[in-house]
This record gives sequence, structure tokens and C-alpha cells, in this order.
Amino acid sequence: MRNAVERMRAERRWTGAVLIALALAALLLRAALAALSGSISVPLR
Amino acid sequence: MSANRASLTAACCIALSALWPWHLYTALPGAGVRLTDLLCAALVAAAVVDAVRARSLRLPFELAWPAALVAVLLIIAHGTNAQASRPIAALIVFAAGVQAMRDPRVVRTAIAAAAFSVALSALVSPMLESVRIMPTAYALSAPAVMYGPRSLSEGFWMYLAGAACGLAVALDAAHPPRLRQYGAAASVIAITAVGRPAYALIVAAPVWEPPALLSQGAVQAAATVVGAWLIARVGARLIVASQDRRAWGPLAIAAGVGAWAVSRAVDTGLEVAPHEGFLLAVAVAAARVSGERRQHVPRWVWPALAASGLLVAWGAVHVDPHQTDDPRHYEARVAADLRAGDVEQARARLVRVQEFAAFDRRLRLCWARTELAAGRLREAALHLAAALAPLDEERRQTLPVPTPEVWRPLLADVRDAVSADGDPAAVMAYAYALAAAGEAEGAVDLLGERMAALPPPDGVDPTPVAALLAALFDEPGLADAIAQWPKERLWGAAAAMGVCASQVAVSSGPASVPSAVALAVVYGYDEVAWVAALPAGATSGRLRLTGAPETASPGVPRSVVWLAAPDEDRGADQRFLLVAQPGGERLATLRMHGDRVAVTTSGGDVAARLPVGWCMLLLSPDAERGAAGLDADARSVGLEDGT
Repeated sequence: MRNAVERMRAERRWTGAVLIALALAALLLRAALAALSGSISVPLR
Repeated sequence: MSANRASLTAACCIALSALWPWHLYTALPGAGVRLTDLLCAALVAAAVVDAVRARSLRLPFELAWPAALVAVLLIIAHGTNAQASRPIAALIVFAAGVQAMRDPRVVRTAIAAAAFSVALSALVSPMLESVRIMPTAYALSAPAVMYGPRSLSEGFWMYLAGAACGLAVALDAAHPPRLRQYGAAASVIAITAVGRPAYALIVAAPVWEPPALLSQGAVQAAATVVGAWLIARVGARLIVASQDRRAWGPLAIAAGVGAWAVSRAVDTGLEVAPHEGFLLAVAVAAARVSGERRQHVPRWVWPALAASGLLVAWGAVHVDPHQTDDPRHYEARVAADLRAGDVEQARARLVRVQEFAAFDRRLRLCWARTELAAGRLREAALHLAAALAPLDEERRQTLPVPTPEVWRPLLADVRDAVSADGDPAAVMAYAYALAAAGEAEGAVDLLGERMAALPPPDGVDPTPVAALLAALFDEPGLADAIAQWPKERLWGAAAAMGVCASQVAVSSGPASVPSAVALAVVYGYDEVAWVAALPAGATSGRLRLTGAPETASPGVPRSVVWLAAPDEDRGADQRFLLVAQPGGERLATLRMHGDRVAVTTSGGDVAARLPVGWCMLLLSPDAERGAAGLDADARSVGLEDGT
């Protein structure tokens, strides 16, 4: 098990990676939904 | 933290975990507040007391600074309005949750409670839909509905989060094997329920929009970035905890947090609720590598949760009219549509809501408001009449029955619009509304004044027409007064009611209907509008309006005929069927038991489907005259084309 300082460093590294992954996932999902919804076209709430 | 306070906060945490998928259903009757919000407030109070007593904050600095910065940026961007206050409340609950959850057992129990609660929601939703309970989330013209989340896109995330929690339970070696199996099952149930909201998400994004970040102000964009950093930091903690513990459980929780973040980025219209801050605190607590002080889960939390299940069950079928943020509060949603000038959206919403609240009187009022806004005065008045008319039996109402304070202003608005417009059909419809509001005499007077005079057909007895007019206004006692009107005026009023329409077919009535009962069958070119039974010659009593059948073919002039239903004769209970000609569909069933008569049709909604042109056939069954007399009587109403 890592000590607290090592863990903190690892968390910091992962934070950047997670942030990029989330942003990419959101962008891709939006693009995919927009592409799909163009063909389905049902109005929602 | 004292043992008692630790137990109480643990109970709060577990109750919140179990109740958040049912958040909208936890409104305390009469209190104007939801149980989940109360639990959040209790959690914050306990955490404040704990922090003051212990003189320490358990929220790590690397999470505290982004949380505080987001709050400050939101206040700078929006002041203290709802757009800022709700996320800030969520951040406060987040900090309180981190402070309150100390023992890993409490965290594990909270995660399990969330997993099973979401799975239960996924299992119960189809049942609620099958009994036509109003959903909390629905698409306007797609079949997807959900019970619990505020929107279909939120439901998408809710099920993913439930699946993540179930997976965390299944992968947590500290749980007993049986519970881990149940956790896996809950995860599978939640993930299979994702399909419908996923479909909704697909249809929810009609056009590509640039990420909301770019269109916001700089301060709001900064708040979004810092908030994303906070979420990413929580995710990173879970990943590192997963590596350190060599366990997959925290990774599953990280997936749930990620799903939340992505769903918010995709559907930016969603508001953050305070309990979502608590869920983030659960994720932080799940990432803790070692538990600290021991905190017991009190045993009474389970019976208390079962009791709050009753509250949820009550909340599922009753909408508090004061909770206007509840998506089921269609009146507030329609009012918002109308304020925005989007009448078409209001109509689409009403059509959708009608599937679940067909008998709601408030829904009729909403229809009336919408039609009034669209300038369709006759329809507005008819909906208003339907909202106010007494029913044979009171059906379950999603929103409470409107009080006179609610409908009187609308009646006045319709009156003003109708008198400015002057359309006889609208005046007639308004007269119905007046009669339904208990002012039948005013309605009859109005008709007498406003209806154009029409020459009556030769040799026609006005008495049945007057009786029918009075009966349709639910005041049979007014028949004599109406019969005294000049014939031209009576015929004008009758024409406006559709009594004299062009297509008529005379039918014979069931011969053995007792003379104490008169039947009126009102039907149009395309469908039966209603079937009414009323005591003949009665000075009071209700006209029994029933629904229109769904089966009629549009555009075909039709007549009706009564047929005995011998198979269904049981002792004193006689039945007759009202059958359409041509076509032969069964439109209505007449049941007689002694002196009591009931007419039921194949269902449908009267006021929403009143046809444009009606015919009316008045059957006055008389035991002495028999069926031939009925024919003669029906002809004597003079149903030639008088319009």
C-alpha cells in the first residue's frame, strides 16, 4: 500500500486523466446522440 | 461524535441512500417539504455540530477548495437565485456527508441501499405504468415514461448509478456472499432498465449544440471547469483506492460518478438536487482506504425505511399542488408553456398527460386555459364544463379537485371572450359551463337571450326538446319554463345544441325500460358523444353523462338501435345494448336493476371528443305506448335538418 504522499500524487495524476476522459466521453456522447436523433427525430419534453 | 449522534447520522445517510431514487415521491403531506430534503438538512446540522465539537473538517483540502471555489463562482455569476442556490446546497450536503460518514460499514450499507432502491424502482416502474399512474418523466410524443427521476435523461443516469452501486456490492468482499449475489442481481436489473431512458436520451438531442461551456459567461464557465475538476478528483480517489485495495468496488463507484458527470454534460438543463451532493459524498467515503471511528447502523433504520415506503407509495399517487417543481404537476408545466407562448407544446403535453390523468378535473381546466389561449372558445368552454360537471363516481385525481377560487376567474375569462366573440356555438358551450358551475338558470336565460331565432318545423311538439334542453343543463325542473319560450327561440337554442342536425336515424328503444326513465342518446356524424339516462319527469337528479366509444368510424352517418342482451339477463338485472348501424359496434350497455338504471359506454373522454355536428335522439320509453310509441316520440322531436 502506498503512503499518503504517494497516494496524493497518484490521485493528482489520475485527476487529469479522468477529467480528459469525462470531457471526451461527454463530447462523443453528445455528437453520437445528435447524429442518432437526426434519424429518429421525436420531440422530447 | 457521541454514539447517539453517530447512529443518527448513520441512519440519515442510509435513509437518504435508499430514498433518493424516490425523491419526488417523498413530499410530506401538508408540510410542503420533501423527506429527502429534510434528511439532507438533518445531515448538515449533525455535521456542523460534529465539526464544531471536534474542531476539524473531514473534507480533504483537495476536495474542499474546488467545492468552495465553485460556490463562490456561482454566487458571483448568479447571486443567490435558484440557479446558484441549488448547486450550493448540494455542495454543502456533500461536505456534510463526507463529515458524517465515518465507518466503512455505514458506507457499504449506504451503497447497498442505493443499489437495491434503484433496482426496486426499475422493477416497480412497469407496474406503475400498467395501472396508469402519472410518471415523473415522460417524452411528449414518444412512449418512454419513468417513475422517480425528474427527466428521462436523469433516469438514464439513475439506473447507471444503481448498476454501479450493485456492482460495488457484488465486488465487495466484506459483504456476505448472499448479499453480493443480490447486489449482482440488482446491478443486472438496473442495467436492463437503462434502455428506455437511453432511447429518450437519443431523441432528447434534436440538434447538435456546442458544449454549453462556450455559450456561458466566463464566471459560469470557470465554475463548470472547477466543478468538473472536483468530480474528476473524486473519480481519481476511487481509482487509486481501487489500486491500493486491489478491489474493483471503488472502480464501479467511479463509473457511477462518471456517468453522472457525462449525463450532466449532455443534458445541461438538469438542475442539481441537494441529495446528489450526498451521493458524491458516498463516493468520497467509498474511496477511503481505512475506516476510522466506529459508527453503528441503528437497527430501527430498517422499520423506519419501511414506514417511509408508505410515504413513497402515497406520493406516487398524489401530487402535492404546492410542489410546483414536481414534473407531475402538469398545471404548472402547462402554465409555463402558455407563459412562453407555446400553445402547441401545451397541447402536446396535455395529450400526453391525459393518458395518465384522464379523469382529472384540473386537467380539463388546463385544457380550457390552453384552448382559450389558442382562441378556440367553444372548446375552452366545453372543457370548463367538463371540469365542473358532477360525475357519477369520483375517479382518482392526480392533482386535487379545483376549488371555486381556481375556476371562477377562468369562467369569467371565458365569459368575456365568448361575449366579445358572439359565436352561437361558443355561447352554447359557455352555457354548458355555466350550468356545470351550478348556474343552470343563468345558462338558460343566456340561451334565451343570445340564441338566434329559427323557424320551427311544422307540427312539432316543443315539450321533449324543452325537456332535453333542461336535462342537458342538469336541471329537469326548468323544462316547463323552457317550453314556454317562443318556438323560434327554442328552436334556435336547440339548433345550437345540435338537436336539429341533418342526419337522423330513428331507433326503437328497449321496450321494457320502465316509464320512470327517459333515455337520451346524443350522437354525431362520426361518433356517439354521450348516452344519458335521467329520471323522466324528475325535478332534480343528475343527467348521467358517459363516455364516447372509441370504435366509431369517422365520417359515416350512423344511427343507433337498442338490442336486448338475453345472455346477460340475470333476474331483475336486465341489459340492453346500444349498437351502431351500420357497423354493429356495441356503443353502450344499459343495465336496469329495479328502478336503477346505469348506462356505460366503451369509454373515452366526452369533452375532448365532442363532435362538431351532433344528432340527438330522444327516447321516452313509455310502458303503455311501447316501442312504436318510442319511434313516434323520437320523430316528434323533429330531427330534420333545422340548422
